[in-house]
Amino acid sequence: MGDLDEKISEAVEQARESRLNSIIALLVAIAATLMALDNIKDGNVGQGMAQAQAHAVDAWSFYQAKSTKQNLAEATLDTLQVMRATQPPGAATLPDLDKRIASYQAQVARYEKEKTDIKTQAEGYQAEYDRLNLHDDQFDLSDAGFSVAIALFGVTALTRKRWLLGVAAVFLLVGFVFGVAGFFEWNLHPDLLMRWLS
Amino acid sequence: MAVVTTPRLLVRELTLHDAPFIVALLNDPAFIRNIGDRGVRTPADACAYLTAGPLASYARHGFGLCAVTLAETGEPIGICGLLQRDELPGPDLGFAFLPQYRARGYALEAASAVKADAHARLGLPTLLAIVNPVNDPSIRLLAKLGFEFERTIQLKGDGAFLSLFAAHMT
Repeated sequence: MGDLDEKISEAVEQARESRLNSIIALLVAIAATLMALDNIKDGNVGQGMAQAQAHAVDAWSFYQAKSTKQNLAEATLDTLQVMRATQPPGAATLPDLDKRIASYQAQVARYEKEKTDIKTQAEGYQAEYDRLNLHDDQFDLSDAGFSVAIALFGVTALTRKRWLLGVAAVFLLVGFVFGVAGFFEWNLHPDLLMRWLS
Repeated sequence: MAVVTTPRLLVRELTLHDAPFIVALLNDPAFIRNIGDRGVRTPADACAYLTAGPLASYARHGFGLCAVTLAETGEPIGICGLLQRDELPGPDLGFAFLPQYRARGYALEAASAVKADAHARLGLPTLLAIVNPVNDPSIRLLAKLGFEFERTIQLKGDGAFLSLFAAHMT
Protein backbone atom coordinates (compact mmCIF):
# COMPACT_ATOMS: atom_id res chain seq x y z
CA MET A 1 0.00 0.00 0.00
CA GLY A 2 2.87 2.36 0.89
CA ASP A 3 4.35 1.91 -2.56
CA LEU A 4 1.04 2.67 -4.21
CA ASP A 5 0.54 5.83 -2.11
CA GLU A 6 3.98 6.98 -3.07
CA LYS A 7 3.32 6.38 -6.77
CA ILE A 8 -0.01 8.18 -6.59
CA SER A 9 1.46 11.24 -4.85
CA GLU A 10 4.37 11.24 -7.35
CA ALA A 11 1.93 11.16 -10.24
CA VAL A 12 -0.12 13.98 -8.69
CA GLU A 13 3.03 16.04 -8.15
CA GLN A 14 4.17 15.46 -11.74
CA ALA A 15 0.75 16.45 -13.03
CA ARG A 16 0.88 19.59 -10.91
CA GLU A 17 4.36 20.44 -12.21
CA SER A 18 3.31 19.68 -15.73
CA ARG A 19 0.29 22.02 -15.29
CA LEU A 20 2.57 24.80 -13.98
CA ASN A 21 4.92 24.28 -16.92
CA SER A 22 1.99 24.42 -19.33
CA ILE A 23 0.76 27.68 -17.83
CA ILE A 24 4.27 29.15 -17.96
CA ALA A 25 4.76 28.02 -21.55
CA LEU A 26 1.44 29.55 -22.55
CA LEU A 27 2.19 32.88 -20.81
CA VAL A 28 5.69 33.03 -22.32
CA ALA A 29 4.21 32.42 -25.76
CA ILE A 30 1.62 35.20 -25.20
CA ALA A 31 4.27 37.63 -23.90
CA ALA A 32 6.65 36.88 -26.79
CA THR A 33 3.89 37.28 -29.38
CA LEU A 34 2.70 40.60 -27.93
CA MET A 35 6.28 41.78 -27.67
CA ALA A 36 6.87 41.01 -31.35
CA LEU A 37 3.72 42.95 -32.32
CA ASP A 38 4.85 45.85 -30.09
CA ASN A 39 8.23 45.92 -31.82
CA ILE A 40 6.69 46.12 -35.28
CA LYS A 41 4.35 48.92 -34.27
CA ASP A 42 7.09 50.72 -32.32
CA GLY A 43 9.32 50.63 -35.39
CA ASN A 44 6.62 52.35 -37.41
CA VAL A 45 6.06 54.89 -34.64
CA GLY A 46 9.82 55.56 -34.60
CA GLN A 47 9.80 56.21 -38.33
CA GLY A 48 6.85 58.58 -37.93
CA MET A 49 8.70 60.40 -35.15
CA ALA A 50 11.82 60.80 -37.27
CA GLN A 51 9.69 62.17 -40.10
CA ALA A 52 7.81 64.60 -37.85
CA GLN A 53 11.08 65.69 -36.26
CA ALA A 54 12.69 66.36 -39.65
CA HIS A 55 9.64 68.34 -40.78
CA ALA A 56 9.60 70.33 -37.51
CA VAL A 57 13.33 71.11 -37.76
CA ASP A 58 12.88 72.25 -41.37
CA ALA A 59 9.84 74.37 -40.52
CA TRP A 60 11.49 76.05 -37.50
CA SER A 61 14.64 76.73 -39.53
CA PHE A 62 12.50 78.25 -42.27
CA TYR A 63 10.71 80.33 -39.61
CA GLN A 64 14.09 81.50 -38.30
CA ALA A 65 15.22 82.46 -41.80
CA LYS A 66 12.07 84.58 -42.21
CA SER A 67 12.73 86.16 -38.79
CA THR A 68 16.25 87.10 -39.86
CA LYS A 69 14.96 88.65 -43.09
CA GLN A 70 12.27 90.49 -41.14
CA ASN A 71 14.84 91.83 -38.66
CA LEU A 72 16.98 93.11 -41.53
CA ALA A 73 13.97 94.74 -43.18
CA GLU A 74 13.00 96.34 -39.84
CA ALA A 75 16.51 97.68 -39.34
CA THR A 76 16.53 99.15 -42.86
CA LEU A 77 13.08 100.60 -42.27
CA ASP A 78 14.30 102.26 -39.06
CA THR A 79 17.24 103.79 -40.92
CA LEU A 80 15.01 105.07 -43.72
CA GLN A 81 12.57 106.58 -41.23
CA VAL A 82 15.40 108.36 -39.43
CA MET A 83 16.69 109.62 -42.79
CA ARG A 84 13.24 110.88 -43.72
CA ALA A 85 12.86 112.69 -40.39
CA THR A 86 16.10 114.59 -41.01
CA GLN A 87 15.10 115.79 -44.52
CA PRO A 88 13.90 119.38 -44.84
CA PRO A 89 10.22 119.79 -45.82
CA GLY A 90 9.74 119.60 -49.57
CA ALA A 91 13.13 117.94 -50.19
CA ALA A 92 13.44 116.22 -53.55
CA THR A 93 14.43 112.93 -51.90
CA LEU A 94 11.19 112.65 -49.89
CA PRO A 95 9.05 110.90 -52.53
CA ASP A 96 11.74 108.30 -53.11
CA LEU A 97 12.22 107.77 -49.36
CA ASP A 98 8.46 107.44 -48.86
CA LYS A 99 8.34 104.85 -51.61
CA ARG A 100 11.15 102.85 -50.05
CA ILE A 101 9.62 103.13 -46.58
CA ALA A 102 6.30 101.84 -47.91
CA SER A 103 8.08 98.98 -49.65
CA TYR A 104 9.92 97.92 -46.49
CA GLN A 105 6.76 98.25 -44.41
CA ALA A 106 5.05 95.89 -46.84
CA GLN A 107 8.01 93.50 -46.62
CA VAL A 108 7.90 93.48 -42.82
CA ALA A 109 4.14 92.81 -42.89
CA ARG A 110 4.60 90.02 -45.45
CA TYR A 111 7.32 88.33 -43.37
CA GLU A 112 5.11 88.59 -40.30
CA LYS A 113 2.26 86.84 -42.11
CA GLU A 114 4.55 84.17 -43.55
CA LYS A 115 6.03 83.58 -40.10
CA THR A 116 2.58 83.04 -38.63
CA ASP A 117 1.79 80.42 -41.28
CA ILE A 118 5.14 78.65 -40.86
CA LYS A 119 4.79 78.71 -37.07
CA THR A 120 1.39 77.01 -37.28
CA GLN A 121 2.91 74.37 -39.55
CA ALA A 122 5.95 73.86 -37.29
CA GLU A 123 3.78 73.58 -34.18
CA GLY A 124 1.67 70.97 -35.99
CA TYR A 125 4.76 68.84 -36.71
CA GLN A 126 5.93 69.37 -33.14
CA ALA A 127 2.56 68.25 -31.77
CA GLU A 128 2.70 65.17 -34.01
CA TYR A 129 6.21 64.41 -32.76
CA ASP A 130 5.09 64.79 -29.12
CA ARG A 131 2.03 62.58 -29.74
CA LEU A 132 4.14 59.83 -31.30
CA ASN A 133 6.80 60.20 -28.61
CA LEU A 134 4.21 59.37 -25.98
CA HIS A 135 3.29 56.15 -27.80
CA ASP A 136 6.97 55.33 -28.35
CA ASP A 137 7.47 55.59 -24.59
CA GLN A 138 4.43 53.37 -24.03
CA PHE A 139 5.84 50.71 -26.38
CA ASP A 140 9.23 50.93 -24.66
CA LEU A 141 7.60 50.35 -21.28
CA SER A 142 5.50 47.56 -22.71
CA ASP A 143 8.62 45.94 -24.11
CA ALA A 144 10.34 46.22 -20.72
CA GLY A 145 7.31 44.74 -18.96
CA PHE A 146 7.19 41.75 -21.31
CA SER A 147 10.97 41.18 -21.09
CA VAL A 148 10.95 41.14 -17.29
CA ALA A 149 7.87 38.90 -17.30
CA ILE A 150 9.52 36.36 -19.63
CA ALA A 151 12.66 36.33 -17.48
CA LEU A 152 10.59 35.77 -14.33
CA PHE A 153 8.59 33.01 -16.01
CA GLY A 154 11.90 31.27 -16.71
CA VAL A 155 12.99 31.59 -13.09
CA THR A 156 9.57 30.32 -11.98
CA ALA A 157 9.93 27.22 -14.16
CA LEU A 158 13.29 26.50 -12.54
CA THR A 159 12.43 27.27 -8.93
CA ARG A 160 8.78 26.08 -8.96
CA LYS A 161 7.87 29.07 -6.74
CA ARG A 162 4.28 29.90 -7.47
CA TRP A 163 4.45 33.40 -5.94
CA LEU A 164 7.06 34.26 -8.56
CA LEU A 165 4.49 33.37 -11.19
CA GLY A 166 2.27 36.11 -9.66
CA VAL A 167 5.08 38.67 -9.84
CA ALA A 168 5.78 37.72 -13.45
CA ALA A 169 2.07 38.05 -14.23
CA VAL A 170 2.10 41.63 -12.86
CA PHE A 171 4.92 42.56 -15.29
CA LEU A 172 3.04 40.80 -18.07
CA LEU A 173 0.00 42.95 -17.22
CA VAL A 174 2.12 46.14 -17.21
CA GLY A 175 3.48 45.20 -20.63
CA PHE A 176 -0.01 44.42 -21.89
CA VAL A 177 -1.59 47.67 -20.60
CA PHE A 178 1.12 49.92 -22.08
CA GLY A 179 1.14 47.90 -25.30
CA VAL A 180 -2.62 48.30 -25.69
CA ALA A 181 -2.27 52.02 -24.81
CA GLY A 182 0.31 52.34 -27.58
CA PHE A 183 -1.75 50.47 -30.15
CA PHE A 184 -5.00 52.27 -29.41
CA GLU A 185 -3.29 55.62 -28.81
CA TRP A 186 -4.55 56.06 -25.29
CA ASN A 187 -3.37 59.11 -23.40
CA LEU A 188 -1.72 57.06 -20.67
CA HIS A 189 1.36 59.08 -19.63
CA PRO A 190 4.30 57.11 -18.28
CA ASP A 191 6.12 60.45 -17.68
CA LEU A 192 7.47 59.82 -14.21
CA LEU A 193 8.79 56.39 -15.04
CA MET A 194 10.29 57.53 -18.35
CA ARG A 195 11.98 60.51 -16.72
CA TRP A 196 13.53 58.12 -14.24
CA LEU A 197 14.58 55.69 -16.95
CA SER A 198 15.89 58.30 -19.43
CA MET B 1 32.88 88.69 -6.78
CA ALA B 2 32.49 91.02 -9.77
CA VAL B 3 32.81 89.29 -13.11
CA VAL B 4 32.36 92.28 -15.39
CA THR B 5 31.24 95.85 -15.06
CA THR B 6 29.58 98.24 -17.49
CA PRO B 7 28.67 101.93 -17.10
CA ARG B 8 25.32 101.04 -15.54
CA LEU B 9 25.72 97.44 -14.40
CA LEU B 10 27.77 95.08 -12.33
CA VAL B 11 27.70 91.40 -13.24
CA ARG B 12 28.69 89.23 -10.32
CA GLU B 13 28.47 85.60 -9.28
CA LEU B 14 25.18 84.53 -7.76
CA THR B 15 25.07 83.52 -4.11
CA LEU B 16 22.46 81.84 -1.94
CA HIS B 17 21.45 85.34 -0.75
CA ASP B 18 19.95 85.87 -4.22
CA ALA B 19 17.31 83.19 -3.60
CA PRO B 20 14.29 85.58 -3.30
CA PHE B 21 15.33 87.33 -6.54
CA ILE B 22 15.69 83.95 -8.29
CA VAL B 23 12.17 82.98 -7.20
CA ALA B 24 10.81 86.19 -8.73
CA LEU B 25 12.78 85.82 -11.98
CA LEU B 26 12.12 82.12 -12.58
CA ASN B 27 8.38 82.53 -12.02
CA ASP B 28 8.02 85.42 -14.44
CA PRO B 29 5.54 84.23 -17.12
CA ALA B 30 7.92 85.24 -19.92
CA PHE B 31 10.72 83.19 -18.35
CA ILE B 32 8.45 80.15 -18.09
CA ARG B 33 7.19 80.61 -21.65
CA ASN B 34 10.54 81.20 -23.34
CA ILE B 35 13.01 79.29 -21.20
CA GLY B 36 11.01 76.81 -19.15
CA ASP B 37 9.50 76.09 -15.78
CA ARG B 38 12.31 75.19 -13.40
CA GLY B 39 9.84 74.34 -10.63
CA VAL B 40 11.39 76.92 -8.29
CA ARG B 41 8.60 78.23 -6.07
CA THR B 42 10.21 79.01 -2.72
CA PRO B 43 13.54 80.44 -1.51
CA ALA B 44 14.48 76.90 -0.48
CA ASP B 45 13.84 75.69 -4.05
CA ALA B 46 15.93 78.61 -5.29
CA CYS B 47 18.83 77.65 -3.00
CA ALA B 48 18.71 74.11 -4.38
CA TYR B 49 18.56 75.48 -7.95
CA LEU B 50 21.51 77.82 -7.31
CA THR B 51 23.58 75.09 -5.67
CA ALA B 52 22.99 72.53 -8.41
CA GLY B 53 23.13 75.07 -11.26
CA PRO B 54 25.19 78.27 -11.24
CA LEU B 55 27.28 77.58 -8.11
CA ALA B 56 28.20 74.08 -9.33
CA SER B 57 29.05 75.55 -12.74
CA TYR B 58 31.42 78.16 -11.20
CA ALA B 59 33.25 75.37 -9.38
CA ARG B 60 33.35 73.03 -12.35
CA HIS B 61 33.90 75.32 -15.33
CA GLY B 62 34.96 78.66 -13.88
CA PHE B 63 31.87 80.33 -15.33
CA GLY B 64 28.10 80.19 -15.06
CA LEU B 65 24.99 82.31 -14.97
CA CYS B 66 25.65 85.47 -12.96
CA ALA B 67 23.52 88.12 -11.32
CA VAL B 68 23.17 91.38 -13.24
CA THR B 69 22.86 94.20 -10.74
CA LEU B 70 22.45 97.96 -11.02
CA ALA B 71 25.85 99.54 -10.42
CA GLU B 72 24.34 102.35 -8.36
CA THR B 73 22.14 100.39 -5.99
CA GLY B 74 23.33 96.79 -6.27
CA GLU B 75 19.76 95.68 -6.95
CA PRO B 76 19.62 92.43 -8.94
CA ILE B 77 17.65 92.91 -12.16
CA GLY B 78 18.46 89.82 -14.16
CA ILE B 79 20.86 87.00 -14.88
CA CYS B 80 23.40 86.68 -17.65
CA GLY B 81 26.32 84.37 -18.20
CA LEU B 82 27.64 81.24 -19.80
CA LEU B 83 26.32 77.71 -19.51
CA GLN B 84 27.99 74.44 -20.39
CA ARG B 85 25.49 71.83 -21.58
CA ASP B 86 26.32 68.24 -22.44
CA GLU B 87 24.32 68.47 -25.66
CA LEU B 88 26.21 71.47 -27.07
CA PRO B 89 29.81 71.50 -28.33
CA GLY B 90 30.67 74.67 -26.39
CA PRO B 91 29.40 77.17 -23.82
CA ASP B 92 26.27 79.13 -24.62
CA LEU B 93 25.15 82.57 -23.58
CA GLY B 94 22.07 82.80 -21.36
CA PHE B 95 20.19 85.82 -20.10
CA ALA B 96 16.88 86.73 -18.48
CA PHE B 97 15.67 89.95 -16.90
CA LEU B 98 12.83 90.95 -14.61
CA PRO B 99 9.93 92.45 -16.62
CA GLN B 100 10.40 95.98 -15.26
CA TYR B 101 14.00 96.05 -16.49
CA ARG B 102 13.39 94.89 -20.05
CA ALA B 103 13.52 97.14 -23.12
CA ARG B 104 15.97 99.51 -21.42
CA GLY B 105 19.15 98.23 -23.02
CA TYR B 106 20.31 96.41 -19.89
CA ALA B 107 20.26 92.97 -21.54
CA LEU B 108 22.35 94.20 -24.48
CA GLU B 109 24.78 95.95 -22.12
CA ALA B 110 25.23 92.93 -19.86
CA ALA B 111 25.35 90.35 -22.66
CA SER B 112 27.91 92.39 -24.63
CA ALA B 113 30.15 92.57 -21.58
CA VAL B 114 29.79 88.86 -20.83
CA LYS B 115 30.50 87.98 -24.46
CA ALA B 116 33.62 90.17 -24.49
CA ASP B 117 34.74 88.60 -21.22
CA ALA B 118 34.20 85.10 -22.64
CA HIS B 119 36.65 85.94 -25.40
CA ALA B 120 39.17 87.98 -23.38
CA ARG B 121 39.31 86.05 -20.11
CA LEU B 122 38.24 82.55 -21.14
CA GLY B 123 39.65 82.62 -24.67
CA LEU B 124 36.53 81.14 -26.22
CA PRO B 125 36.72 81.32 -30.02
CA THR B 126 33.01 80.67 -30.49
CA LEU B 127 30.06 81.38 -28.29
CA LEU B 128 26.72 79.65 -28.78
CA ALA B 129 23.21 80.64 -27.81
CA ILE B 130 19.96 78.70 -27.88
CA VAL B 131 16.60 80.38 -27.99
CA ASN B 132 12.94 79.55 -28.44
CA PRO B 133 12.33 80.26 -32.16
CA VAL B 134 9.37 82.52 -31.39
CA ASN B 135 11.25 84.62 -28.82
CA ASP B 136 11.79 87.57 -31.17
CA PRO B 137 13.20 90.06 -28.61
CA SER B 138 15.99 87.65 -27.63
CA ILE B 139 16.71 86.80 -31.27
CA ARG B 140 16.99 90.52 -32.10
CA LEU B 141 19.36 90.95 -29.17
CA LEU B 142 21.51 88.04 -30.38
CA ALA B 143 21.65 89.60 -33.85
CA LYS B 144 22.86 92.87 -32.32
CA LEU B 145 25.56 90.90 -30.49
CA GLY B 146 26.78 89.37 -33.75
CA PHE B 147 25.21 85.94 -33.40
CA GLU B 148 24.08 84.14 -36.53
CA PHE B 149 21.53 81.37 -36.85
CA GLU B 150 23.16 77.95 -37.26
CA ARG B 151 20.40 75.33 -37.12
CA THR B 152 17.37 74.03 -35.26
CA ILE B 153 18.13 71.59 -32.46
CA GLN B 154 16.36 69.59 -29.76
CA LEU B 155 17.80 69.26 -26.29
CA LYS B 156 17.17 66.24 -24.07
CA GLY B 157 14.35 66.62 -21.61
CA ASP B 158 11.28 68.47 -22.80
CA GLY B 159 12.12 67.86 -26.48
CA ALA B 160 11.32 71.43 -27.52
CA PHE B 161 12.77 72.67 -30.80
CA LEU B 162 15.26 75.50 -30.31
CA SER B 163 17.21 77.78 -32.60
CA LEU B 164 20.97 77.49 -32.21
CA PHE B 165 22.97 80.67 -32.83
CA ALA B 166 26.74 81.10 -32.88
CA ALA B 167 29.09 84.07 -32.65
CA HIS B 168 32.62 83.49 -33.92
CA MET B 169 34.97 85.74 -32.01
CA THR B 170 38.31 85.09 -33.70
